[in-house]
Amino acid sequence: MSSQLPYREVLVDTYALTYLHSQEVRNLLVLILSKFRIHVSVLSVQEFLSYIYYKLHDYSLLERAAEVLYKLYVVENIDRETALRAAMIAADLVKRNQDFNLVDVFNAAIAVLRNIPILTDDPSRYSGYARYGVTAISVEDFIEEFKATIKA
Amino acid sequence: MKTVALSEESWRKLKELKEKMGFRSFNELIEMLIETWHLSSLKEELSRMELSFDFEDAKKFINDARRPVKKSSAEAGTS
Repeated sequence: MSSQLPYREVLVDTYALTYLHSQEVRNLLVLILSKFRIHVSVLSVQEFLSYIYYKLHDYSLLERAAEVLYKLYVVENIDRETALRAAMIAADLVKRNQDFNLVDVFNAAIAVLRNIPILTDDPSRYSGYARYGVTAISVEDFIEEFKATIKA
Repeated sequence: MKTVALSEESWRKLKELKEKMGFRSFNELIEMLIETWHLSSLKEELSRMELSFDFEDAKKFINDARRPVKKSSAEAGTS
């Protein structure tokens, strides 16, 4: 079994991270994690953990979920370089009078600095970021391509 | 290439496994064993999350959490 997808590393945004852990595709996640190095920003980890706490209201489960996420993924903190790149992107978006979400801006900055694509539920979310070098891929398409490669 | 030292017992078990699995080399067998260990570790880690949810429900939560903050009355020019 070998993956023919043209990348070995990806950044998942909060939506893609959630999708990967949802009951829809959870069974495939082990295989995906064994084939790809998956990055996720600490901001997406926080958003996902918020959802877990909202659902379960159980601190010990929240702690365990955080521990698992930090083991399975490359969690990207907001370092100096990322802050600088995110600042430039946000400034440009304001100049262009374009609405934005800060988590998306940080994802864009991380993806550009690491030169990796972003997996998301809706690639149009990052269409305004293509000018900064961001490539966004539908997480559903990624799963379908991955399924095809493991069947091949 | 690297060599490793094995006990007689481990060597016998490894040879048996190689035959059972139909591998041509010990290298292939060891790669398979490492991958299997990796997959089972990942599976074990994931099972610790004890979480089952529907994506649409999670998406709604994220969208709600990201809802823009309402402007204050001063900013909105209604003071």
